[in-house]
Amino acid sequence: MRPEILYFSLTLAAALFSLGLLGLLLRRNLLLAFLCVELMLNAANLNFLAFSRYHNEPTGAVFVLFGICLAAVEAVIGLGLIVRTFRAHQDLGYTNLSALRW
Amino acid sequence: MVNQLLPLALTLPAVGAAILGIGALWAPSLRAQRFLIGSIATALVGSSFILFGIAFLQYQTPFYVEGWSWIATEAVQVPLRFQIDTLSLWMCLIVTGVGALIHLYSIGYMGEEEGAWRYFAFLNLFIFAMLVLVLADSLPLLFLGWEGVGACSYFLIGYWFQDSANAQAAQKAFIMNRIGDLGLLAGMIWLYAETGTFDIDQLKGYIYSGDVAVGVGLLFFLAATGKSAQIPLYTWLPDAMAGPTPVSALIHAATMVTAGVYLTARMDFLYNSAPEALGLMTGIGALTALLAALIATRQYDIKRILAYSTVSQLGFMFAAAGAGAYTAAIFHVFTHAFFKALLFLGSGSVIHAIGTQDIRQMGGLRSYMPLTGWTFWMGTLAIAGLPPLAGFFSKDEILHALYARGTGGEGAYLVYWVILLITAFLTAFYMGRLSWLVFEGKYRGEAAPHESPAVMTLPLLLLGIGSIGAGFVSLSPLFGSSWLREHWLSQSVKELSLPSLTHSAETFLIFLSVGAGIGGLGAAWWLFGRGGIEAEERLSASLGQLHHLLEAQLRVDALYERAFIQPYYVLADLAKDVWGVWVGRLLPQGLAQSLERLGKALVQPQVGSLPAYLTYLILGGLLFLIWTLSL
Repeated sequence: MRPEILYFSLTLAAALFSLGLLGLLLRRNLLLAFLCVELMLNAANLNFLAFSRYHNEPTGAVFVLFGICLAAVEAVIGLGLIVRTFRAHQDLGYTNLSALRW
Repeated sequence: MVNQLLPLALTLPAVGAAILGIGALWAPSLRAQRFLIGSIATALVGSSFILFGIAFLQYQTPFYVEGWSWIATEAVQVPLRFQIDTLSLWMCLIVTGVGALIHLYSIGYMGEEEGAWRYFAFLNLFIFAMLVLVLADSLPLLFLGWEGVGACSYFLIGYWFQDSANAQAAQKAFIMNRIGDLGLLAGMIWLYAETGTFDIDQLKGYIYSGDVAVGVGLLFFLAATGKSAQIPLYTWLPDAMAGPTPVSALIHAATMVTAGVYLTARMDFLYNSAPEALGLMTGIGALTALLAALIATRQYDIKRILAYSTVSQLGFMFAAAGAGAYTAAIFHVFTHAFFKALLFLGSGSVIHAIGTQDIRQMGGLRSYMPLTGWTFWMGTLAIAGLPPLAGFFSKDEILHALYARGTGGEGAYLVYWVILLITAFLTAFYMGRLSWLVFEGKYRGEAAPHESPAVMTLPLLLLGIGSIGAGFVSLSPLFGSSWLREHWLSQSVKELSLPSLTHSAETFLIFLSVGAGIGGLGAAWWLFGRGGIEAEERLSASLGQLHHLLEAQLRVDALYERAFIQPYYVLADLAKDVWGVWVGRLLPQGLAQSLERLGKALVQPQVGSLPAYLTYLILGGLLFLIWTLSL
């Protein structure tokens, strides 16, 4: 793999991660925040894959598989929590969720 | 054969204490069997005496009884081993012999007591502890016996502990003894630091520099002043009369208080190279003897007179030990055990009969209780030093040693000799006063006196025989050789050699000491034998302030109260205020409050809103990133 592709991939991953981060910071909606987290996770996965191809080294690719697996599990719990929260509050905004405060 | 018997002789009293104590605790119904309990205790100590007697008759050379390993670390090894030599065997004979007679007497004296089982168990335990003390072949084991004796003394003085005065007397005895014990402990550790061994036989092999010998010698003497009731730690003994009278006879006259003298004789190798310590010992001994005798002349409590007499006689023993004549001290221990036990048991018999200890309530008792009266007189004559009774020989040997050392160039000993000669006069005087006021004249009390049962008078008779005959084991220098010193104790005790005296000087000494005894008795007869209690009243009136001072026992207790106990309380209060307020309250409170404030401050950022946490998360991530990149 040529270095240009690596650079492109890394830039793309950085862009995706920044998008996710920005979204997380700016949006006040649980579902969107969740999607942004997924976006950041996938940006990380992209980095793994890019380096894996560049170094001809399968570890990174395997790690991505674990990452996807983790994301799936996390999605189950996260979506479940979001559904419960929505049912309880009839609202997906999370700014006012402070029932667990000390 | 003897070697196998001796462990038995040692353990029999311990077995007695165990079966009586545990048995009566386990089965309270047994406690009522007082006669049985007393008989068991007496029989065990008696058998122990017989076994030691056999060992004495068959004695050839010193030997050891191995127990098991007691302290075994890499640094220190102390085996549980007992040494039987002439000195320890002689002490064992005194302890078990006189002890058995006092046990026998106790069957009668304590026959009505609910707690007789407790009494006899502790009495047996005491004998065991004393045997451990004298037989120990290493200092830690000796210390074990030393402490055991002190503890048993505490239990027995406080036997009637429901009365708080008795409990306090017990505590006083224990605490005074503990002060002395500190000296034994410190001296022991010092010796170990010097030589690396606790074994007494091995310690004998070292040559001690003057400083070590004097330092350790003084520390051991401090221990002896506690256990053997010398200035400054003697005040517990007169108070220890709170215990039952046979306890006074056993512990505070015949055995426990002799532990200090025994320690001195056992440490002969140390003291022989510490002349300064010896000088101080004689001085303290002589001073104690004189002061205690002076106090004894003005007391009215029959047991208190005898208690001060004990303190005074112990002063004689230390004076002798301080002159380097350890065998004379041990000899006086031996004779004193007989006549002092006899006197205490006699006084117990009197107290048993009329229920008071005040000699002003007595008088003429010899006609009511002839056996007690005659044997008490025997004890009085013996302690007064009338030949050929026991006290004469031992006291004469002590005075002889002091005089010999005094004329041999150490003038201070001549002063001590004069003091002891005066004390010998006073001894005869206060004992004469006691006997005449208690047993002669007319009865002044209320209760009807009666003679005690045979179980109590038999020990009196046997001790009376001992008081007459005990002196013959060591005839005074005038009559040639002394068996006790030259053929028996010299095998294990190395004495300082005394300058020899001329024949006429010895005769002169004997006349002086006999004269002091007869003079004292004569003075007592002149006053109390003819005048009775009225003479006593006239005498106390004419003495005025001096009488009050002596009757109040020189107010030493009040002095100690003001010098030590009050400052101690002040210090304790101060500590309570400073420590209690600062460490007890302010410091932990301050700590708790500041922690609480810290917690409140730390909890502030926990606002509970998810966007804020997200911001923290991202900021944290950024910080981490910067930190990683900057490395």
